[in-house]
Amino acid sequence: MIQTHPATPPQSRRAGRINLTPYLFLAPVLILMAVFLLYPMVQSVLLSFQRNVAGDAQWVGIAQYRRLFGDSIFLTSLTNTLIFLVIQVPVMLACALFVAVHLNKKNFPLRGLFRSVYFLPSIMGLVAAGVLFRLLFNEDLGLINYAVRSIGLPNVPWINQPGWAKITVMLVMTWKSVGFAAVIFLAGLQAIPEELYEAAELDGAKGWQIIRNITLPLLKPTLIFTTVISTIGVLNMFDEVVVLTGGGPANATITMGLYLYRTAFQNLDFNYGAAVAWVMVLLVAALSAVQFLLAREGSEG
Amino acid sequence: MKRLSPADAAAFVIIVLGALAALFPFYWMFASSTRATNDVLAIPPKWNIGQALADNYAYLVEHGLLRAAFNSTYITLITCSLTLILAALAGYALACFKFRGQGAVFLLILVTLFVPMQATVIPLFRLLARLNLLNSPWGVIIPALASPFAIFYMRQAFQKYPQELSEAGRIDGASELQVFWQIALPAVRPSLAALGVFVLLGQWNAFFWPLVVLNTPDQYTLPVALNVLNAGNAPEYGALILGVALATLPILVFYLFGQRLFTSGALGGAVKG
Repeated sequence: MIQTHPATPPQSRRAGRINLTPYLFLAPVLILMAVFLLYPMVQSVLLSFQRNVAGDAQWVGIAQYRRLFGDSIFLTSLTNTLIFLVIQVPVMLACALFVAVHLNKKNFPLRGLFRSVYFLPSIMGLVAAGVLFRLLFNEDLGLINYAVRSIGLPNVPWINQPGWAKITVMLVMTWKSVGFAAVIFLAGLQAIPEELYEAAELDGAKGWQIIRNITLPLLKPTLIFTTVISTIGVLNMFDEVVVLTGGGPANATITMGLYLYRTAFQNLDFNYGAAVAWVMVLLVAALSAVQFLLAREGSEG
Repeated sequence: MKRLSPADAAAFVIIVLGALAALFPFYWMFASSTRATNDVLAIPPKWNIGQALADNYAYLVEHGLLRAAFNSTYITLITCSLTLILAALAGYALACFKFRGQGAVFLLILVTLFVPMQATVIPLFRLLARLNLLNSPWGVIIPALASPFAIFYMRQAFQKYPQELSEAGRIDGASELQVFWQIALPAVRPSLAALGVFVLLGQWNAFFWPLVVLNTPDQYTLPVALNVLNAGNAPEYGALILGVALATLPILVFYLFGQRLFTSGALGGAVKG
């Protein structure tokens, strides 16, 4: 833990008396956290090892988790989520990095304006964006297919065909998150001292070499951070698929978040829902841990 | 000034196209919100401003969207102000006092910082049912207040606060609460503003939890109401898009005036998280 007490802490007037102030100031959040965070967390672990028999909880060990592996919809949602993860996150981050590297150049025209414009989609709600894009991607009447046809290509079944529906969802997510990642990259880039670039240029390094040997290594903490944040975002995906595709067609875009919602809050199977939830939690934890470990390894090497 | 290299010129073109892609849905949203349903999805597309704004608005009023806008505003403002006050109190206690159990409390906050929502939603739902808070704004507000991130953020903010200021206040005879409210809190105003924007945006756009908790139209927030309109059999597209515009306009205006707060809120997570 970091040492954080520059000045002398306030002492109680009489020695030996405990200063109650910090406890009183912390009490509201601690009570809220105990009741609405810790208690539900413990409860949901317990729920996932039980089943409900006419209102009574019965211990069933890992039976709920076993059920998951024979549940084809759950497995589809897991696969979909992983597909979104391995395609959308790298593509989106690469685009964001491209934008940020250029907007970081002093002589790039209108860089301030671009920065504001690229950030704009990230303030729009996912539901709002989903509604707009569902109409823009409409197969027969949408503007996007109008543009596609006008350059002589056939209509694209953006929403109605399983493969394309996945692509559409990823396009919308990318539209929404590229600017946010770019702004974070830009801040990371601005922290890299300019002399390093000048020295490299004097040594005759060219564009890609500079990026590879200076920008990327020094940007590593920022890269890890954005990767973790976007990974968590994809693992929790819910809003965008509900509004855009409803998880369809034929479960092609169902995500774990959507499956959790259906199991727990539509079918009211709380025990099974808790098992789905904990698989998600463990996936988030494992992937974040891997990414942080990779970061540490690289910075020591 | 250096001229652009050919590679940079090509990049400039790509970045202009990307910027247009980022902006276009906003333009289309505002333009379409003035059109009748048949003109929203018309081939060839219409580019002008339509005449149906008043009709679309009437449709939204009739379908409870104003009520939803009110609910969203109410929930967002209360969540935001309570989160800021509670997190500031806790952050101040953690950063500016020395007390027994301090390490344990801070550890608890660090650990819970990374607990995703899925870990709690199901029992939380049952708990709110028992507390009679389902289908009420407080069912959305209260769980959001238990925010380890906000506490962590305010603790970081108060670490840069010069504690001599508090000491001076105490010598002048102010109570601890007065010292906090009148001296410490104003000193961290920039951090409060950045955190405030972060919380505001999150709650205004929140969908999953309001969808779980709120189930009658009079309680819906804007995202929930829009989702219902969107999923309907024959939605009035012009009105639907006007609803989307209504949900987007306030944050858009806010962004145009306080842009730095939005990006610093985003970066707060990046730099300090």
